[in-house]
Amino acid sequence: MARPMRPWTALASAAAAASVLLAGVGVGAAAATVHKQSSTPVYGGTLNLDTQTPPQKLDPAQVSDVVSGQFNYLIFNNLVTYAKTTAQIVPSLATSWSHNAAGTVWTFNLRKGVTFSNGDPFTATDVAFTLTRINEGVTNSPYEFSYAVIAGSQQCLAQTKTKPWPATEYLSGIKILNPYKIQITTTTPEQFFLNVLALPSASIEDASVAQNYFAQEKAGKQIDPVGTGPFILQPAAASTTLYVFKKNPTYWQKGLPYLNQVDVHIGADPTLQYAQFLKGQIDAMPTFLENFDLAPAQYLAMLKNPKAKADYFDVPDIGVNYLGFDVNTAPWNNVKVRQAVEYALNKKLLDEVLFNGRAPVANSILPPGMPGYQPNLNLYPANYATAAGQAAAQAKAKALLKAAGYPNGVNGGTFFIISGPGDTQQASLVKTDLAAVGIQVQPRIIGFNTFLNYGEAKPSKLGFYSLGWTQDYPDPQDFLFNLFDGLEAGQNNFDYSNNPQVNALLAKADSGTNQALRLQEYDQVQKMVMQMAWVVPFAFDFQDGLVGANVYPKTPAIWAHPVEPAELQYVWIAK
Amino acid sequence: MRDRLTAYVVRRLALAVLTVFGVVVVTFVIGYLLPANPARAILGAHASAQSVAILDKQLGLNLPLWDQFWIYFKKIAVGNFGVSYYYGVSENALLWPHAAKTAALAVASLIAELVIGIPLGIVSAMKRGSVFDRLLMVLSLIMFSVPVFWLGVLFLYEFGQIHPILPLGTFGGFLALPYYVMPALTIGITGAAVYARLLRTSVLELVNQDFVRTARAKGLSEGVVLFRHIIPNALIPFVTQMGLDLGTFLGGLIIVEQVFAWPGLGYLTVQSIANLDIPTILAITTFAAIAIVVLNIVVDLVYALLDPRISYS
Amino acid sequence: MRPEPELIPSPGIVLSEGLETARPSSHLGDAARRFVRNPWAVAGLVVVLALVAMAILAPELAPKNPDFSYPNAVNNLGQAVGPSRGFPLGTDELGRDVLSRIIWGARVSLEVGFLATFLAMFIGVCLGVVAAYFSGWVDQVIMRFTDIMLAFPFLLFVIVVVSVLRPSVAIIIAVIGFLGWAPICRIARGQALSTVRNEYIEGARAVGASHGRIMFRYLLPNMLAPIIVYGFLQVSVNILTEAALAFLGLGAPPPTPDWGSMVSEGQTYMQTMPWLFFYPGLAITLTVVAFNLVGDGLNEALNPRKNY
Repeated sequence: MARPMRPWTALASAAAAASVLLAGVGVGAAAATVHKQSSTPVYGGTLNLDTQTPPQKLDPAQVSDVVSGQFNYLIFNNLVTYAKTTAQIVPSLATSWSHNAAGTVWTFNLRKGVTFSNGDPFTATDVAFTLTRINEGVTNSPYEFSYAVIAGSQQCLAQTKTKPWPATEYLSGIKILNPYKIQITTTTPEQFFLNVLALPSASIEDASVAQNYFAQEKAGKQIDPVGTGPFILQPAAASTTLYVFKKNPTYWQKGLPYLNQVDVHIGADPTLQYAQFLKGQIDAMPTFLENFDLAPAQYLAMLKNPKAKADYFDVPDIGVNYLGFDVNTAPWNNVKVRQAVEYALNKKLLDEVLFNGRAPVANSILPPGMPGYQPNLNLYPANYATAAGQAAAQAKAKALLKAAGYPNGVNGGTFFIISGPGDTQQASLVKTDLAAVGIQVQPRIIGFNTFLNYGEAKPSKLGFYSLGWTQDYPDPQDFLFNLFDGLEAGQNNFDYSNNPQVNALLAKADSGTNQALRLQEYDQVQKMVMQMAWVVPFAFDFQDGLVGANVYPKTPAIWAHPVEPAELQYVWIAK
Repeated sequence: MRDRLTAYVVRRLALAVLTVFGVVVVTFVIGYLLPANPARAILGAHASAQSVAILDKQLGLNLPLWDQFWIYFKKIAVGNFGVSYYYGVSENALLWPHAAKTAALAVASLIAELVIGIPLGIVSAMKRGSVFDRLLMVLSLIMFSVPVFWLGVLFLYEFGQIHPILPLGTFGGFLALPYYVMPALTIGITGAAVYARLLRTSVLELVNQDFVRTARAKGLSEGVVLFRHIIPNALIPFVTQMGLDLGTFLGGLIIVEQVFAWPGLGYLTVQSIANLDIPTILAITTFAAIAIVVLNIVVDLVYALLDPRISYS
Repeated sequence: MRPEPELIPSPGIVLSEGLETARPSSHLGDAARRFVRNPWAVAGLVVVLALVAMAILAPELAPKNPDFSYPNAVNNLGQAVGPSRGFPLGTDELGRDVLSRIIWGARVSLEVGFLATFLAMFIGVCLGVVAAYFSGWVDQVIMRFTDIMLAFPFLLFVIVVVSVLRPSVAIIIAVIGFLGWAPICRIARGQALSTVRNEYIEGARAVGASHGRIMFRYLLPNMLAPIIVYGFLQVSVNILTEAALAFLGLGAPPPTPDWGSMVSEGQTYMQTMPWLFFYPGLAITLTVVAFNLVGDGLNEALNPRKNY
C-alpha cells in the first residue's frame, strides 16, 4: 500500500491516513516491551482518546481515512474479522463458511440472535443490501473496485449512476438462501476475498437505516451510523469536538465490551495529545486512532519522562520508505545518476531526524519480517558516521555523475514530498545532501491527493519523489509487483519502470507454486532493482505509542494490530 | 437631517453591497486557480481513475469559467456555500460552530486589549512628558513589535510546560475560562499598544478643549473631569480604530488559533489550505469579508450615534 | 460619512498620528536635529543599519554554513545540541548551526520588508496622487476600489493567495505589495488633496505644464515626510507579515533560513530543544522594534506636535 511518511502535524494531508486501510493479511509484529499483565478484566469506566483530525465519513461505504475506519470498528461488525492479535481471519457476523471447488461460490452461515443498536434484527437482508450498496455508482465508494469481483457488480455500477436501486434489489451474484444463510458468487476465484470482506467498507449496515444514506448525503447531512458493534455513537452535531461512544448493552460477543464509554476528543495535535496523556486526560495515544507514531519531538520528550517511558511500546512495522525516480526522464533515466543519489544520501542522519533511529536504515526493498528479506544486501555501502566516510561516499557520487556525463553537476528538477511531519526536514536534508555532490533539486511539499494526480498524469509529473510502502499481505509479490512491474505503471509503480526481464520474473514467481523457487526469483528481482537503483530505500518502519498505566491489556498487538485498528471491546481500565 | 441620514445609509449600504460582490468575484477566481482535483479530493487516494473522471463531470468542473461563476454566485446568493470536500458536511454546518469559537476568542481578546491598553494610555497621558511616559511609550512599542506567534509560543512554554498552571492550548468549552487566558493575552498584549497610544493622544487633545476648561472652571475635581468628561469623548476614536483594525484583528486571531490549536475559523482556514478543501476556503474568505463589511457598518452607526458633531455630507 | 480619520488604517501608523493632515516641518535640518536628539530613535537606527549590514555580509559573518548538518550535532536519537562552545545558539533538529541560520535569516526578512513595502507604496502613492489630482469620477473609482481593498481581511487573503501560487520570496513580495497598497493610497490622496487646491498648481497648469510634471514636481515633494514615516513603519509590519506566513508554513521554501519557520519548527520541539523557537523570535522582535523606533523618531522629528 502506497503511503507518505507518517503524517501527524496540523498540516497533515487528508488521504495520507488512508494508506493502512486496505491492509490485508499481515504477519504479527514481534512484541518489544512487555508490560505487567493484569489478569482480571474490570467492567466499567470511560476510555479517553484524542485524534487530531475528525472522522471524515461515517458511512462505511465512504470510509477512506484511518479515524473513520477506527470509528467503524467501534460501531459495526463485518462478516469476518481478524483475530485479536494476529492477521488470521476469524468468524464475526458469519459463524462459518464454505466455498465450492472453483472458489467462486461462497456460502456464509450467519449468526443468529444479533440485533442492531436500534433493535432491528440482523439478517441476510442486511448483508445483501450492504454489499449491493457499495457497488452502486451513486455511492461513489472509493473501495468499489475491491468489491467489483462480486458477480453483477458492473451492471449495478452502470445502472446506478444517478439513482440507487430499490432497497430490495441486489447484485445478481448475491443470493439470500434463508434469513441466516447467504451465497455470494464471484466472477473469478479470489484468494483474498475474505480479507476484502473484513475491510471497514464492508461493515454490515442496517438495511432499513442505510437505505436513507444516499438522500442524507446528497443533502449534506451526516448519516446516522447504526451497526451491531460493541459501541454506539451518541448523536451529536456534525463538527463537534467530542465523539462519545456508549457500550452496546445487547452486543453479541458475550461479556464484551468491558468499557462503559469511549470519548474521542477531536483537534489535539501530537504535542497537545502528549501533554494530555501525561496529565491523565487521555488514556492512550496515538497509533490505533490515527495510525501515527510518536512524532520525533514527542519521542525525545518521552525519553526524558520516566512515567511516560514506562507506558511506551514500540514494534516493527513491515514497510519501507524510499526515494523514487521517473526512470524514463532525464536526468533520472541514467542509472549512474540514480546510483549517485544512493551514495549522496546521508541515510543515518535522515533516520535520526525523521524517526529518532526507531526505524532501521534500509538498503534493500523487502523489510525485516517479510519473507525474502535480505539483511546482507548492501550494494552502495556508505559510512556517514565519520567525516572520512562521508567524504568517501560523496566522492563516489561525484565520480558516478562525471561518468554519467555531468562533471559539473546537474539539475534534477522538482523533488516532491507528501506533506506530513518531517516534510520540511526531509526536504532540507535531501536537498542539501544532493547539492553537496552537485545535484540541484527544488523540494516541493504537496498533499497526498495532489501527489497521486501528478503520478497518474500522462506523462507523469513526478520526476523525483519520496514515498513509502506498507505490506498488504506477507508475500514479496505485494512489494515487488506493485512497485516495479510494468503493468502497475501509473497505479502503484510511479517509477514507470518496465523492464522485460523483471516483468517476466515477476510473472513467473506470481503464479508459481514452489515457495522456495518463488523466493529465489523474488530475490533476483530485488537484486536487479537495487542494481538499477530504480528506488533509493532509506528506512524501514515501526509502530509505537503510549498506553496508560491502568489501561489493559498491555499486549502491543491490541493497540498496534498488524492489520486493523485496535478493537476496543477487549480493553479495560483497572481500578 | 432626516434626508441626509437616509441618503448616507443608502450610500453606505450600496458601497457595502458593491464590496461584497467584489469579494465574491475575487474569492471565486482564487478558488478557480487553486491547483487541486476536487473529485480526487472527495474520493480519496484509493478511488480509481474512472470514478474520479465521473465525479469530475458531475461536479461541473469542465464548464467554462463564466458558467462556473454564475452557478457559484447563484448558490452564494441564497446562502448555500456548498459542501466541504474534506468533512463531507455543508459549509454552513461546518462554519458556524467554528465561527462561534472564533467570536468567543475575539471577545476575550478585545477585553484583554482594553483592560491592558486603557490603563496604559490613561497613565501615560496623566504622566505626560515624564520619563515614565517615555518608558511606557517604548513599552507599548515593544508590545506592538513582538510577533504574535512567538509571544504565544513563549506563553505555552512558560505556563504550559515550565510552570504548568494553564491548560496547554485548545478549546475547553465556551465557559472554560482558563483556556482563554493565554490566547486572549497574546492578542491582548500585542493589540493593546495601539489603543494605549490612541487613548493617550485623544486624552491630551481633549485636555485643552473648551468644555474641559469649563468643567474645571466650575470647580470639578481633576478625577471627575477625567472620568466624566474626557474619557468618554476620548473613547470615540476607539470605535473608529476598532473598525479599521478588524482585518488586522482577524489576522491575529488566525495566527493565535494556529499556535494554540483553537478550533476556530482561522484554524479551519489553515487546515483547509493544507487539505485543498476549496469550498471551505472560499466560504471562510467570503464569510470573513462579509463579516468585516457588516461590522464596519455597525461601527459607523455606533460612531454616528456617539458623536453628534459629524456631518453626513 | 464617518470622517476620514486622522488616524490611518494600520496599527503601525497609529504610532505616528495624523499622517494624512501632517504639515512638514520647514527645515530638514531642524528635523534631523530633532531626530538625533532622540536617543531611542538613534538606537533604532543603529540597529537597523547593523541588521542591513548583517544581511548583506551574512556569508562572511556567519560562523558556519547555515545549510550544513554537522555530524554528531544530532545524536543517534535525534536530540540536537544546545547552546555550547561550538554552537553559541545551539543546533536545530537537523544539526545546523542556529546562529548562522539567524544571521542568514535576516536576508529574507529584510528583503520582503523593504521590497514589499516599496511595491505597495509605489502603487498606493501613484493611485492616491492620481485620484487627488484628477478628482471627479477618477477619484471616485479609485476611492471605491480602495474601499473594497480595505474591506478584505489582509492576512487571510495573503495566506490564501500565497498558498494558491506556491510560496517563494518573490511571490510573497508581490502578494503583499499588490494587496497592501490601500492604506498608503488614502494617505497620499489626503496629502495631495491639500496641496492640489493651491493656486500655484493652477498657475502651473495655465502655463502649460503637463499633468505628470505637476504631480511629480509639486504634489510629491510635499508629501515626502509622511510617506517616509509610513514607509519605515510599514517595513516592520511587512516583516511581521512575512514571519507569520513562514510560521504558517507559507514562507521561503526549505532549507532557506527564515525566522518565522524557525519559530514554527521550534514550537514542535519546545519540550526538548527550547532554544529553537526562542532565538529566531527574539531576532524578529529586535528587528521590528528597531524599525518602529526609527519610524516613530522620524515622525516626531518631521511632525513635531506642540504639547505631546
